[in-house]
Order: sequence, then structure tokens, then C-alpha cells
Amino acid sequence: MMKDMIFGTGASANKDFNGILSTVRAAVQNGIYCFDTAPSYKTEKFLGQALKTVCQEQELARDAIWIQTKIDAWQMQESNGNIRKYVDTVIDEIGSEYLDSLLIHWPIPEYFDNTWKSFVKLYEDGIVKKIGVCNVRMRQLKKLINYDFPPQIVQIERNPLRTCLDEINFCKEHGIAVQAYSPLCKMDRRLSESEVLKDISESNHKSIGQIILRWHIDTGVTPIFTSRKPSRIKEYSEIFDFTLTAQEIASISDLNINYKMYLESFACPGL
Amino acid sequence: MSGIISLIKNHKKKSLFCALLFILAALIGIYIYIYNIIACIIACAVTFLILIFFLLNLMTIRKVNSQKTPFNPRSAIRNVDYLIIGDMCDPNQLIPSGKTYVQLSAPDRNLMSAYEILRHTYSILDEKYGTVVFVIKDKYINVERFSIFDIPLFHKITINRLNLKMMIIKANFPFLFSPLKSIKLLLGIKISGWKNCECPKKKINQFCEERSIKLIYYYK
Repeated sequence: MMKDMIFGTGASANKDFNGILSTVRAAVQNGIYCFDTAPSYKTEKFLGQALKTVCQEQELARDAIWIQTKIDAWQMQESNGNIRKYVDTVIDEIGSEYLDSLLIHWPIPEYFDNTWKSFVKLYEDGIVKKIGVCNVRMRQLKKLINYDFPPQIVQIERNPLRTCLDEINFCKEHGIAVQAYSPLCKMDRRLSESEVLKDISESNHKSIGQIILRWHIDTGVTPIFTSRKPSRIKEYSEIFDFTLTAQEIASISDLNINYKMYLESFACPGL
Repeated sequence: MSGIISLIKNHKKKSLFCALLFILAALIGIYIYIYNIIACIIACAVTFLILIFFLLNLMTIRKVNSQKTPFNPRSAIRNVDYLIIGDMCDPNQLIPSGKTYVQLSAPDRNLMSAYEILRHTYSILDEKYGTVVFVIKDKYINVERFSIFDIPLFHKITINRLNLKMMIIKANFPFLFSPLKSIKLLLGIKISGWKNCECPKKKINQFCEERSIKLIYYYK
């Protein structure tokens, strides 16, 4: 199973069942078996149904597929951290007995500790295989690592314009898996028109998107990419027949200007 | 017909405004028909005043909401040198020239509001060198209430936590619920004569310290 890449169903993904089905089918046909969703994406139910259909078509068992969802800020607030009921609902909707991974979408400080306690309980009960947190920076990571049960997965916005080197090194040191959302920074012009990326793309006979996704993998990070087009999904899955040199990786990392699309404090006040 | 419906759906505010104009014009027509010319003049004056009110209200909402633009995921404004939060002021008098900044000012903003806004917005600052500038009148240091001009900058979670749901409705009518401040905001009146001192609230200093944000505090 290709676990180096995750297909996301967030902001830029299809939202209708047929759209989700076509992209999920394309992902599985191209060897991508990991899927990411969240309540705020409104794709949990359709993703579950699409996966069920595709698994039947391809004769795949549940454990051939890897599903990750999240707990949103409103759920943390509404339940004061007792989020079990939401997990039960999503497991029902997805049509599975367990989740492969569950993340806190935005670690709202007021409700974080209670929510994390529920997460640990879900992990201990075997309902969730891995637990983690999204949108954290070094300050929170240093705090989290001292918890009795630290996160196993961290998901952050990461791309060549924002390399998050400190966070990634810290996570590697502590055995925490890092996932990158918006791995292509919605193909910002500073990336699509970058001479550095154009040169590397030409020398490797790959598109800039493929180069960036490979850069994530070669730096030890799992990119969560998305597309509405099956052809694009195929293109992005074809990145396992080459690797980048250390020099190429370094020159891509040098594009870092700490540009972020999503401001953590605006989506997670007081973070 | 479906084209008209979709046009209305896409331009809700404009459609509402046009509908209002149409109703008012119809009312004037009825007045002229039923009563006399004096009643018509009065109706026209009332209509004019109502229109001015709606127009100014819309302008105020736009001005307040425009403060949110830098925080949009599509915005190119990131890693700014200064974040100015508080009362109306002239940034040129408070920060060195040539520096990048985002200004979140509203008339008579109190320290508690400014702190809550900081909690929502500090990520726009440069992580190493970012500085937050608080501009608060002395009489508003201990005032503990939020204004309708703060609401658009707050997350839903904060609005729920602080029980500010009613304020969302009020924030749609700033000219009705806060007319003087709305005028000040629209005119962009800048207050000068701010003096520098240490921030009087410990928790704000601590918040900035934990996030490596430099804090400059101005009072008057």
C-alpha cells in the first residue's frame, strides 16, 4: 500500500458523490489508498460511500484502505472535549468499525486538554489506530511532547514557500509522522514561475507539481494533495520512479519565505 | 425567470437595496395620489434620510469588514513588521517609515477587545521580528465589553465562548447601534498625541512574550 501520499477531500476537492467517487476511483487505480477528510469539508459521508463502492469494484478489504478524519473546533466546544459521539457518528457514516487516524483540526487552547483525553481513550479502546494534531508550531509541539500520550501524527501547512524545518526536525527526533496540507500552495505563482523549480522539472522530465510532491516525500513528509481531475491524480501519483538529489532538495527548500495561506491564530484564536 | 432568481441570489445586497428603492418609490407615488404635494415632500425627505442611513450603514460595514481582508487565505499580506490594534491613530506617527503593517483600529476600542483581536490576528506578524502596537485611551483600559466593530474579527468559537451572538445582529447595523463611532470610522478621524509606556496588563505581556512578539503600548 502506498502510504507516502494521501488524497485529501478538503477545500479544492469535489463535494458531490459522483465527483468524489470519480476521484477516489482514480486514486485507488493509481495506487493511492490513504484518504483524508474532516467534518468541515462535508465529505465524510460521500467519501465513505465512494470507498465502499471502489473497494467492492477492486475487491479490496477494509484494511487495504487508510482513512483519516478530524475533530473540528465547534465539536470540541460543543462537547467540551467529549467528542466520542462525533467519532461514533463518523464511523457509522463511513461504514467502518474503526478509523485509521483521528486528528484535532484546530487545537483551540480552551478545549484542547479535554479533547486530547478523549482521543487517548479512543486510541486505547482500539477505535482509532493513530491520533494527532493539525496546525501546530514549535511552541505547541514542545508542550505536547511532554503529555503522557504525545501525538503520533502532526499535520501542518507546508510547501516550498514554507518549509517548517524546525517543526519537521523536531517531529523526526520524537518519532512523530508529519503530513503536509496544501503541499503545492495552490500552485502559487512564486512556485509555478520559479526558475529553480522549472530547471529541476526539466532535468527530471516531470511537472513542477510532481517535483514539489517528491520534495515532500524526500524530506520525510507525507503530502496530502487533492484534485478534481482523475488525470491530475494520475500525474501526481507518478512520482515514485525518480528521486531528487540533495542539491535539488536544498535549492527547493531555499525558496522558503515562511508564506502561509492559513493564519493559525485567525482559525484558532490564542493558539 | 430562473435567470432573474439566480441574479438575485448572486447579488443579495444589491437586490435588497433595489427592492427597497422600489417600495419607497411606490409609497411616494401612493402619497401623491392620495394626499397632496406637502405630504409628498415629507415622504421624499423621509425616503432620502432612510436611503442615506442604509448607504452609510453599508459603507461602515464595508469599512469594518475590509479589516479582515489581510487574513483571507488568498491574501498576499503575510509576515508584516507591525500589527496596530486599538483606537484610531496615524501609523506614521507610531511606527518607523518603510515598515509593513496591518492596522485594526476602531473608535474607542478598549484594551480587552484589543487583546482578543491580538489573539486572533498575531499570526500575520513576522515570526522573528513582528511587533504589536496597542493604542488605547487610558479611560478604556479597564472597560470590559466588546463593540460591534470587534465582531467581524472574531472566530465563531470566540463569539460562542463570550456569548456575543446578539452582537452579530447588531454588527449588521453599525449606524443604528453605534452612530457616532460609525461616523468617526467613516471619516477616518486620526487621533494624535499618543504616549509610549509599558502595557498595564500582565497577561498581555505574557502572551506576547510566549510568542516572541514585541509589544509597544501607546496611551492617551
